[in-house]
Amino acid sequence: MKQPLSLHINDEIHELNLAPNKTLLEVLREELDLTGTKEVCLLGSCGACTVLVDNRPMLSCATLAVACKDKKITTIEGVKDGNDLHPLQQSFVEKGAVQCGYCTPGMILSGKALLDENPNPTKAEAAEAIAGNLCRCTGYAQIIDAIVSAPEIADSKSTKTQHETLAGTLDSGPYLMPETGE
Amino acid sequence: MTRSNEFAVIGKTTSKTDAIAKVTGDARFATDIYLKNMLWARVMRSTVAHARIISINTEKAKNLDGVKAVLTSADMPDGKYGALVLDMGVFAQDKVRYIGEAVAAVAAVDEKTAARAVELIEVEYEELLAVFDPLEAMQPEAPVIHDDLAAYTTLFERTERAMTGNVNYQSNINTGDIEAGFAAADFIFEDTYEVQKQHPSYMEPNSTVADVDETGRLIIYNTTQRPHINQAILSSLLGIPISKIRVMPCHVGGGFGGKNRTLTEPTAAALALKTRQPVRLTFSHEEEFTSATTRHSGVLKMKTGVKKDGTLIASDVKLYYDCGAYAPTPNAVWLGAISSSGAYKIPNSRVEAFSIYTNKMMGGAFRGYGAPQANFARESQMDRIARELNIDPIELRLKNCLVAGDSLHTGQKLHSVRVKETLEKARDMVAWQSPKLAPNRALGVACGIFACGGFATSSIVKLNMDGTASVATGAMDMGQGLRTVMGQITAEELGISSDDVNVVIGDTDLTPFDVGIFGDRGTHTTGLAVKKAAEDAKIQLLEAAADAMEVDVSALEIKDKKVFDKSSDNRFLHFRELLGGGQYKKGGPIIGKASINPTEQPFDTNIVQGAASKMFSTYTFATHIVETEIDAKTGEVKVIKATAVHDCGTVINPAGLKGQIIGGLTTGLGYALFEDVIIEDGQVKNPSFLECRMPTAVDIPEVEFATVDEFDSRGPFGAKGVGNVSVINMAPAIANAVDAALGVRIKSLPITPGKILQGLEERAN
Amino acid sequence: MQPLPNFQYLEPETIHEAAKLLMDSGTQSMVISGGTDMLPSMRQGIFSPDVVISLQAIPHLRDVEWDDTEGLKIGPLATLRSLETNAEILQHFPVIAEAAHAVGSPQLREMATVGGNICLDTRCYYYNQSENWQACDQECLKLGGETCKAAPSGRAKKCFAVFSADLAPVLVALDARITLLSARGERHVDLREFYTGDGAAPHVKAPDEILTSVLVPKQMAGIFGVYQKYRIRNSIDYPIAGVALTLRLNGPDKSAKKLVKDVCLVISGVASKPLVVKKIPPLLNGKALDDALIEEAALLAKKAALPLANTGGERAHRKQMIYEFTKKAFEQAINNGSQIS
Ligand SMILES: Cc1cc2nc3c(=O)[nH]c(=O)nc-3n(C[C@H](O)[C@H](O)[C@H](O)COP(=O)(O)OP(=O)(O)OC[C@H]3O[C@@H](n4cnc5c(N)ncnc54)[C@H](O)[C@@H]3O)c2cc1C
Ligand code: FES
Ligand code: FES
Repeated sequence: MKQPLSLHINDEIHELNLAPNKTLLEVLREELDLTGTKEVCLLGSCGACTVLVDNRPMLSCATLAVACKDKKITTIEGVKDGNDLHPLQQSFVEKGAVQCGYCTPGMILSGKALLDENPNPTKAEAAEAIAGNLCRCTGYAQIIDAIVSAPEIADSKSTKTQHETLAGTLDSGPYLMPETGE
Repeated sequence: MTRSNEFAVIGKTTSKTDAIAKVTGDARFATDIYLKNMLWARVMRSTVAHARIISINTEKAKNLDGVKAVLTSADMPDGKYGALVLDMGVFAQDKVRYIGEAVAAVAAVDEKTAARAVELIEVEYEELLAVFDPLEAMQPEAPVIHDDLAAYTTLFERTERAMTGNVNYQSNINTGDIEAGFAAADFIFEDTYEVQKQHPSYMEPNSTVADVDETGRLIIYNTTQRPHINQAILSSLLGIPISKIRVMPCHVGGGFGGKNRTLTEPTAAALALKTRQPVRLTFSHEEEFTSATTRHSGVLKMKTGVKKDGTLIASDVKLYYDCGAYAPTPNAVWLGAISSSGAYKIPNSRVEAFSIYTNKMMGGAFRGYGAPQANFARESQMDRIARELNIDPIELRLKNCLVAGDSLHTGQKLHSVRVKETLEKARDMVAWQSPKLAPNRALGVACGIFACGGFATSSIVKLNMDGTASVATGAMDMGQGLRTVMGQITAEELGISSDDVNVVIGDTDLTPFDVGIFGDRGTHTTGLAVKKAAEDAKIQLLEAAADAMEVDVSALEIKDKKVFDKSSDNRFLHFRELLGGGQYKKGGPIIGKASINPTEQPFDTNIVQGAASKMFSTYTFATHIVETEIDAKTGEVKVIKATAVHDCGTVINPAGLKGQIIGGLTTGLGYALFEDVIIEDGQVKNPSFLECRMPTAVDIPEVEFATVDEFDSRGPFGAKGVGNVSVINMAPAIANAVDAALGVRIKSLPITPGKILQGLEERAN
Repeated sequence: MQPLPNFQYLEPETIHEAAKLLMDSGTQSMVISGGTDMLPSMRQGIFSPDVVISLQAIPHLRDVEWDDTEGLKIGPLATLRSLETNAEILQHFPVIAEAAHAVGSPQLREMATVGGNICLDTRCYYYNQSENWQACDQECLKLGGETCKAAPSGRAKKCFAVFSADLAPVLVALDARITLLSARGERHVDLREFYTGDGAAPHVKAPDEILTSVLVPKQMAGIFGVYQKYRIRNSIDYPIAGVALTLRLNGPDKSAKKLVKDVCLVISGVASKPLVVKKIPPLLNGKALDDALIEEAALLAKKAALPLANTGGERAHRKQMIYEFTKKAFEQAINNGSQIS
């Protein structure tokens, strides 16, 4: 029943051998270990599984992987620009748009699809763009904020690499080596 | 009074330490754990609401190719578990009590096989009469759901009605003289309110991967609010010592109380121990709605005596919370009892609070725990009183609200209360004149109280060679930002930056005990333990410095990761100089520790009976005002704007606070208008996010919020909680706005257009 | 994740090949378009086709074009999102864009197609559930059971599942015609005749037929149209009451009272099909709209609506929404009167 299939995901070609009943979500999470895309309702009603297919936001739980063979898929793992956070990711961090983080990948992809098409959205447009993504933690306000503020961050080129953002303040200088014995 | 300008780290927005991993998709949740040779578990669940189990035949399932283990209660030690009432087995024992109860479980090589095996399990039931309504379940002739109720172990003082019939928990408050109070009242208001079930709707489903390591130890990767309690429950249920169990929670995709549970862990663990292979059990979306827990539904009867001038003088409240077939947290109704007086001083108060079994899915903890129900009743009735007495609703509240030094109706004297200021500030923010703004526009107000802090926790702060620190606590971060806040508290105490603090949470091998994150105890109680542990570490550091510099500790101070001799500016030692050696100093490495189990201000046992806890450390308060537009033709309610003012003590992380307030408010909005787990003959009719409707991004009002200055001397750096009280005001505020606009009083949740139209019709007739 | 049932997946490259495959693979095959309805339903065990035939490799099925002689031709695979922004649609039938925009959520509209919306299965609390859920009670009629559990009596032999699409009622009101193709041949069906009103078998499409095209006749261009949708949340939710209205208001000159022509009112989400309220044209055509007439029309629409407690919302309120929406729709028509020829 399995058939060969090549999928173009995050600028990489994956050669797979798949049964046709696999959804894109299943393939991402279970075959390719791209677990950033989340599985929640499997009914098309929560948006946690959102990915970009040819740059448009779609629900990977309601998409057959076999139907994606000539399409370009972007998951949350492919949003970063090398080691740099995408301005929208940076904006989510800065605006407090992340609480538990389970809705976040889907939110970012819906937000990115909007920004790619409309670089300076209003708050209402941002809310519309994520109207298919549920979030129980935040009440959405900071997520909407993060989307409309992303262009500013992009302009100021203040995005950090993932590593920089994680680094603490390194107090350089010699350690006084432990005295031995007493 | 806010002291945040005195702090270096506290009161400043610090990006969440885990946010980066979450925006890149790198953060691993329990659902993202796939181990080699992992088996998939499925649970076979009851299809009937109430029945005796005659037989279970698992032979066919066991013989199916790919099935590695099948378990029923016969394969498990006999124990029952629960937080206060030990009433539930891992699998149904003798009886099933609700549709969706676990009867058996299967571990198989893949999900499909596991699901197929579940279908092959045959159960023969003898169906029993079921009862779905809590008031009916209290009648003497009602079917008894737990036959040997009285014999169950309970962890609270039993009142007369507790553990009889279908009542599993009962508590009373009796303060003042209720008869005299009503006799002195000029007016008496009596109302009955009804509230629905609301699902916590954390996005990440319940999930556990259980593994047995090479030494035979059980390793649990899960999504939980209480790893240490999980560990203890697993130990007692499975009969293995705590040292052989490691609970390693992953990032938690939301909890809101719903993951203050032990649901998937025992099943996955038992299957892993049996098969010696990793086993994964993740609830299906439907199971979340049939077999997890919801906010308690219930009936609330409220009778209040008032003087002509609006002074509340007597209150008689009866709370009937439907806890479903088992009572994982029956004390929700106790929190309801506490909140049922509202944020008001009522000299004569009687509350009888019942938690009642029915043949439905379980009621459990959910943000606001017990209070949204009670506050809906209290705050709806306050507006009714205001209207009848022709007093402005805010005036009426101001007249009666608690102030510091007052006693709550439980007899607890309150030291930190700024509800009055929240009312005044909210009133000013909306330029309140009267609730009605236009024929179809109105404001609605509600204020509320929530118990904050308490219960055991502990923390360890370890200083590293370079002057950075690691703090460990058994508490959890479900997204509310505990990690960040604990880092900030440690940093503030040690005089270092929050980037220099590594926060370790949850993992039972690495962290000391915490009872679980609920009831606004994270920032407050765990925060206090962290602060004390950091203080302890600091003292040890200063002692080491005093030794090295040959001065007295009192001559030293800390600045910029250095210890200075106060008498001379250029006599100092870098932390790293001290800590390099400090690791080997006399008395061992510098590790601060502290534990807390607050006991101040216990409830007065002359006033309170059957309390499920001895005390709460403090209380948080908030006032919310909603501006609504209500279409009298269609009954549709639109909340345009919500104004929230909170008394949460010192603000530790402003961005986190904003998220907690708006998030809570949105959950409150869902409770008020949309959400309802509809149960028909014991079966959930709408088990999904599609039909159990949490608000979307285009359903939310504009939110403006503020805090009032307060410094709670009992909290860390003056802080209290905020996560729960943010939920409890929306429903009554909206109901009050509807009444102000249309003169229709909705007394049952959710406030639906149909109820409003019906109210209009009744009013017209 | 619980996998979907197994099936064979085919992607024919011509419509005739697709029709042949569909015929050859018998009744256990299904056409998939956007999959937004089919895949969640398959996961719940509602459908388990042996063969799934995708139309996506067939050229031109997504096209939307204006034909001066015939009218607006919409390919079955045109996504709802593409309708929202299509220039021809915005020019000739903006109400189509309005209705498309009202569907589900942004992601769903990117995926969802016109063909799928027209062929959308009916919905019901007792039907759209998993097999586990179904196991707790007698089976619903639509799934092979004896009686319809949603029926007020609980004993009806007729299925009351609800037709819950947004775009289809508008297309009915615009007198759209569809083309159904099978290996046996091609036929054209008026969309309003397509729906049966039987929840269990909501439309007349044979299992081997493919919807290949939708035509909104040229004569309808410029007609006034409006669609009103009631749902509990402002996103994601299916309609639980909907009203589509099309009409012309004609007058001899600017000043004279305008007379109703070609009126059609279709209600959705309150019956097993998009329900044309048949008594409205005789009531209104040729007359000038006034409050009394609008009231009468709204009452007729309300009476025609038969919502049951098998979807979200409340029955009486959903009926009331049909009444209010009908009034509002006519009021909008009057307000737009100057632009209507
Ligand atoms: C959470 C959620 C919310 C939704 N909300 C709405 C809503 O608000 N309004 C609304 O109208 N709909 C709603 N839908 C339903 C659905 O998304 C839309 O109706 C959509 O237009 C269906 O199109 P599709 O291409 O995805 O259909 P598919 O799922 O591909 O197909 C649906 C049915 O039509 C048949 N079919 C499809 N194309 C053809 C064809 N060319 N010829 C023959 N048969 C065909 C299929 O075999 C299947 O039986 C919702 C769905 C979900 C999951
Ligand atoms: S998991 Fe795909 S929409 Fe919920
Ligand atoms: S951040 Fe938790 S669901 Fe959105």
